[in-house]
Amino acid sequence: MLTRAARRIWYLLNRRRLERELEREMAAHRAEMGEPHGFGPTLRLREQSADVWGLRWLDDLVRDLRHAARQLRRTPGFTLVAVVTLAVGIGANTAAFGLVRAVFFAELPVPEPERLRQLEWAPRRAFSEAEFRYLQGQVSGFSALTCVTGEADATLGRGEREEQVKVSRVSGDFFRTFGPGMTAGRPLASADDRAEAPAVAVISYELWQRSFGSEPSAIGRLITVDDVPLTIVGVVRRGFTTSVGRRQPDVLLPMIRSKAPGASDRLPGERPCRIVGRLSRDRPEELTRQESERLLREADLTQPLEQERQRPRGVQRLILRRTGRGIDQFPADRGRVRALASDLPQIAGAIFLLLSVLIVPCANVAAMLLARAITRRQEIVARLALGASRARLVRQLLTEGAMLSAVAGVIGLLLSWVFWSMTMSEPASFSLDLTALAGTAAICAVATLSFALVPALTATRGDLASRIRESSAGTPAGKRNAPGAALVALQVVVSCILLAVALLQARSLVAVTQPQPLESERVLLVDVSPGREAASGYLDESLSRLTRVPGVVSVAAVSSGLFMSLCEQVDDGAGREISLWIRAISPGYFATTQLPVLRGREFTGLDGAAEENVAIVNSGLAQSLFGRVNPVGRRLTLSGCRSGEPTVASGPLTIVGVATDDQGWSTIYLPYAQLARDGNTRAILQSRITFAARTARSAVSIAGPVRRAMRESAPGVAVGAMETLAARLGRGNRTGRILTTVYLLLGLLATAQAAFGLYGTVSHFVNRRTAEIGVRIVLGARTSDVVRLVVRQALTPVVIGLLFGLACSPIVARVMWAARLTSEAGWTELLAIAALISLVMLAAFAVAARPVRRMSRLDPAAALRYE
Amino acid sequence: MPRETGLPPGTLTLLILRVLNTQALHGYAIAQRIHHFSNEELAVEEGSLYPALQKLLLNGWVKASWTISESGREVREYRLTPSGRKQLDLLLSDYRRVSQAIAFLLDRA
Repeated sequence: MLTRAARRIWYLLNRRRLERELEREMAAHRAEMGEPHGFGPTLRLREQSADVWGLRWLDDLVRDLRHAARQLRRTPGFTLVAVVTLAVGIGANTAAFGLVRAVFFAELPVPEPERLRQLEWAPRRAFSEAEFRYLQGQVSGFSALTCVTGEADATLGRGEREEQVKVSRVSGDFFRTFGPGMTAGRPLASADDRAEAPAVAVISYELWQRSFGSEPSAIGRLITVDDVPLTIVGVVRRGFTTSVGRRQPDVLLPMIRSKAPGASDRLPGERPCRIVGRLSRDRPEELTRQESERLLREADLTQPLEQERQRPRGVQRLILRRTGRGIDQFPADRGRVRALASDLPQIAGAIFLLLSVLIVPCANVAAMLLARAITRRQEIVARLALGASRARLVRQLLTEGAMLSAVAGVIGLLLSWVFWSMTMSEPASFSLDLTALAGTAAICAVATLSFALVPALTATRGDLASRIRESSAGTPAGKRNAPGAALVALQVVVSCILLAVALLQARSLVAVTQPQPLESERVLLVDVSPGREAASGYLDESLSRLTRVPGVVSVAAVSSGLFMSLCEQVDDGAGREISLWIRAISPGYFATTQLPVLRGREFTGLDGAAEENVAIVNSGLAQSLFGRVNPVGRRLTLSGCRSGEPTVASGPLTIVGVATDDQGWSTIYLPYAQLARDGNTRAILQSRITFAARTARSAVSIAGPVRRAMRESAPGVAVGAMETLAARLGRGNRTGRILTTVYLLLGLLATAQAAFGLYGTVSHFVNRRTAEIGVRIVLGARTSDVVRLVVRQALTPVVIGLLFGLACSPIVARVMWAARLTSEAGWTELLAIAALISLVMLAAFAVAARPVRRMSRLDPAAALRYE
Repeated sequence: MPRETGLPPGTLTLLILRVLNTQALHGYAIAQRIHHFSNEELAVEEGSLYPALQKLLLNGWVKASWTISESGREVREYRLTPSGRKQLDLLLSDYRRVSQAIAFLLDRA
């Protein structure tokens, strides 16, 4: 069989010569026979003989492709529209495919990732370092076991230069457990994880490239991480990470240096020490699990109970979870499912988008192909009459579709790269490999079948005789293009919603961006995670030291995202529940940052612990609580969602001021002094605190003294990232800007799609009814009547879609954003959307209806003969 | 020359292989030989001969080469390959078995 295949290929390669030989051979045969007419038709004989080689399908394919290319070239407008339409859909889905692949199916780039297990309690509870050490000392079922802390921000210093990096602490066996290769230098070893060992660090490939110019001399360099001196001993290989889809921290430090950078976890409960082990090959996994469970229980009993680490009631079970693949990060544990459920609107939104960007273009192209099938009816009938089989014709039409898809797929691949780099922070992780190409090809194939199959079958259906009659007699009038109209209506709805979402996104973005605080580049921000190292008077101490720094005009502090995972109930009498952020601020916060207070006043030194409880709400929260009524002077009470949950403030609060919007979130500011009085000091110090210092000079000039002052106020606390307020505001808006762009783009694309759809429907309609219109004109119909007929038919779905879409948009926007987004679609926005869509639709309609206008001016007899 | 061949289906390959077994022949000669040696009973149409020859080429049972014929024309000659010889034996024994069985049945039944 193999030799047969080889001979076929040989034949294919030498085809021209071999066919010529056959021709010569037959000529010779004829001459020998001496009676030329006795020989059969040479060409057919030659073809029949050549068919033996079984390459006919290839000839047919080549012929089909040529024919398809000719057809597509003949109607460049149609081809362009179809290709662009499909390319958008294919591109978006290729990007989504790549994302799903990267997130779910990628494996860690380490040897035998299937042997890695992450230890977890069910129900979930964090492990402490002490528990890990106890387990590590006794367990025997793992060939290596390590403990990794969550990432922390830190300042990396090399000589004079400083930059912000992500730092993670790892226990000694980290590199033995994961086993990534090293690009340069050596990995961290257990010897480095000892108190007396010299201070060393391993850096990521990316940091090495970015900040050390990929120089081998980086090994052995002295750096500081949050002012702690360290020596670089190694560079981890490129692309290594401990969780699929996440970026590797820039710097890995040995666990033991607990006073070292990254030591103070921001939220002890949220940022656990992650225990990961590599299973031994020769031991059943279940035995290892039981052993670890027993040891961790023992370890737990030896631990003192800490305030924020309560032992849960009920029996806990230890789980060994696979951790080598991306999909392992989405276990079906109940807590995560609940978290997922809260994201459901966004997920549903994303799926809705994806489906609409692939299905809608396919449907559009299908509609266009259907319309084209009408105009190509004569060609198809002629070919059927000449003996082409239906299967052959369907194949031909599908080839045309596949050609469209293929061209669109290539453009779509480029587009997907654009989509990817727009939405992902790291375009580098977009890889164009065989799987990605196969994925795109599969998407193209699905697209081809879904848009080309039905038109191909429809175009070739029916018996030949009636079709010939039909094609000469004119058009089957009266049949409405109902699916086309419904499709247009649906597309208008989709584009309405997408545009509304984009506009809302843009508005909340504008709300953040608009009130640019005065001289925000003169405000220096310092992030600190005080953690357990800080004394309770840390905040006051730091503020008073900062005030004394020369050049500093005013200082303030704000806690970030305090209690952000808790849902707080704002009881305004009506019993509504609103999730919000609570931020503790020091007096003078708004004066220092120049973030405007819209109404009322900000906190002063007089809002102390002994005074009445006060609060400042942002405009978003004010609006959702009180509507247009001035909230200043109103009272409200904070309490947890369920009874028994701790509240942060005792007694009702009086609102004294309204601040500007906070990136679309509902935020309430409370004075630090009053929160501290109610026993929240620890909780606040566990969160990240941002100090703001305003200077009359440049922010850079006070950076050094500010850092010194911060270090003096609490030597054990690492001083983190420093940047100006201007830089931070710019950064904070980036996500919003990207989202706005994406939605706006999708909305405009959807509108364009709807316009294409309308174009298809109207041309279809015009083509079908040309003869009928001719009759009407002969019978005395005026031009305006004809135009009105077309207008009514075409615009009905648009109007219906528009009304429905406008009604839906606010609801969808609200669902997608839950209660977080404070902006709501107003009448102006909706009107703007309606106007935009109507305009696009009218343009599409005008283009499509041109034939009608032309025809209505035509000689009626010519119109009748049209086709 | 009778245009009806009267060949039982599937035997053309056998006949071609058989006439090629004695010597290499070109297409016309093959047709002539089959006609001649069958007491002018059998005739091979060009429409079946050339596809059959292509099939033999595809299966590697024959090899073709250009030579000059007795009448001085350039012709393509077909020659059996070892695997073609093997195939001929196989077909022959198959054919003998079947035709004997048929003859047997026709005599007795």
